[in-house]
Amino acid sequence: MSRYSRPEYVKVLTVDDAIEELIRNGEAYVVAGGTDLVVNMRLGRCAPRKLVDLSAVPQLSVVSPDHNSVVIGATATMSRIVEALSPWPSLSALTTAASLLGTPQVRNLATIGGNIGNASPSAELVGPLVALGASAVLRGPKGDRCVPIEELFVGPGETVLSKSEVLTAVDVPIPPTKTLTAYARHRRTRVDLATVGVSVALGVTAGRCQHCRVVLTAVAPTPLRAIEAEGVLAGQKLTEEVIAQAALVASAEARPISDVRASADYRRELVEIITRRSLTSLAATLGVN
Amino acid sequence: MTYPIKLVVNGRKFSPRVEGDETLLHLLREKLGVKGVKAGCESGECGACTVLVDGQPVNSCLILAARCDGKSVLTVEGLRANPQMAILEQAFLEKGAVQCGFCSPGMIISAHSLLQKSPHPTEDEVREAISGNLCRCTGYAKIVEAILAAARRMGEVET
Ligand SMILES: Cc1cc2nc3c(=O)[nH]c(=O)nc-3n(C[C@H](O)[C@H](O)[C@H](O)COP(=O)(O)OP(=O)(O)OC[C@H]3O[C@@H](n4cnc5c(N)ncnc54)[C@H](O)[C@@H]3O)c2cc1C
Ligand code: FES
Ligand code: FES
Repeated sequence: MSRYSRPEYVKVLTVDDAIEELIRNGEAYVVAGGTDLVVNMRLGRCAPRKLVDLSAVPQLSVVSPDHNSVVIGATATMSRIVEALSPWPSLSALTTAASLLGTPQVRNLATIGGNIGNASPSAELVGPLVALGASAVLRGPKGDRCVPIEELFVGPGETVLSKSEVLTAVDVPIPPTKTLTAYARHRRTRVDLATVGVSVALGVTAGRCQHCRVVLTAVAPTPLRAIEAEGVLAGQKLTEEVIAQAALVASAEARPISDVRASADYRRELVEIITRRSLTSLAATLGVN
Repeated sequence: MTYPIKLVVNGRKFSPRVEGDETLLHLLREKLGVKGVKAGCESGECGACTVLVDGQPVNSCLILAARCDGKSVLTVEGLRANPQMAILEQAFLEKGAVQCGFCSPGMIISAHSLLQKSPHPTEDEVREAISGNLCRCTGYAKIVEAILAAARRMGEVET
């Protein structure tokens, strides 16, 4: 038999039932796709006493776009997100990240809620969600609260979610016209976590940068907004020099570590190159460089 | 604690009892004797364990067995009676797309799933469809050729 006593399992049909299970058992974990959790259990990285399976809660997997925002249910899979949101070019950062995550088989299981809940510094969707100004809808014993994704992460593997809270949805505002977003990342092999991820949102009015966000992932314990780089771009014409300067500043803002995937120096260099290329290509698409 | 579930595997009904953290891979191989599903990395990386759950290719080493209550599972064994399978199998043999064969069941499931959705795939689509299936022997070229050849032949049979 197994090394540890095996977890109980319950498949809930509503979020409130899930919360009740979480309150009742302090060491219960919700499970969505299981692509992080099942592997972590097998490797002994965690030993839940109970698994609360969210996969059968009907409303949780719905993706509903309207004019102002898209509400993405927590158990929507990467495949579902790509399929439902590809018609929105301004959400390209998000759909690109979802289509780059893992493999086709993994994308049929992996959910947005699990990608956020796992809180890996290299989580694929998180940078794009911060760049888009998205918020997480959390439900707990005391009701719902809405937290900007930017404020959700405390450190690697840690979020502000309490033990009895469930992420129910992610609310993504649709960017205004003349705003585009992009996600690009570097990884060593086809199936590997990102060594560096760069998400950008760029909006222009009368040829000048009106709105921008530059978000770096895998180069700090939590997703990092390159605020100074954003400052370099704000209000400016997006010339080659301005973009190069912003990319340089972004790479100085990164706080990478050296690990098996890359050295800190290499990561900094990647931030500069990827940021420059992403901004250049968005500016070209917007017709302003 | 074990839990009773009901599922259909390759058209046959089963009612096993499963552990809370048991994977579909374990259920299929160790309890239901479906050995065409291979256990490779058991971490979602190699694709040797690929099956269709309600028509979608997934890693059976990642999906919990208990979640599959009420679902329909297809493994390579379930394709035996499928006329398209004979074409795919023949193409794999002719093109030399099988060496040790460990990846083949998962590869075939991914290829089958692609051809269901997209009967006339481009080479890029084929490469994308099998991007979650590792092969340590063939270098992939022969596998891609075999899937493209099978797609062409299936098209000829149709018309
Ligand atoms: C082969 C392979 C390749 C991968 N490649 C990538 C990659 O390229 N990029 C990447 O970012 N990730 C990758 N991953 C990791 C993983 O697939 C993603 O993080 C995925 O989005 C996790 O979603 P899930 O539904 O499977 O999460 P689960 O494993 O079900 O859950 C993960 C964690 O989140 C918690 N959780 C899940 N849902 C909720 C919720 N609604 N509310 C609160 N907490 C919740 C769980 O309790 C658990 O702690 C890969 C995994 C594998 C196996
Ligand atoms: S055994 Fe499941 S992916 Fe390798
Ligand atoms: S033929 Fe040996 S792994 Fe593919």
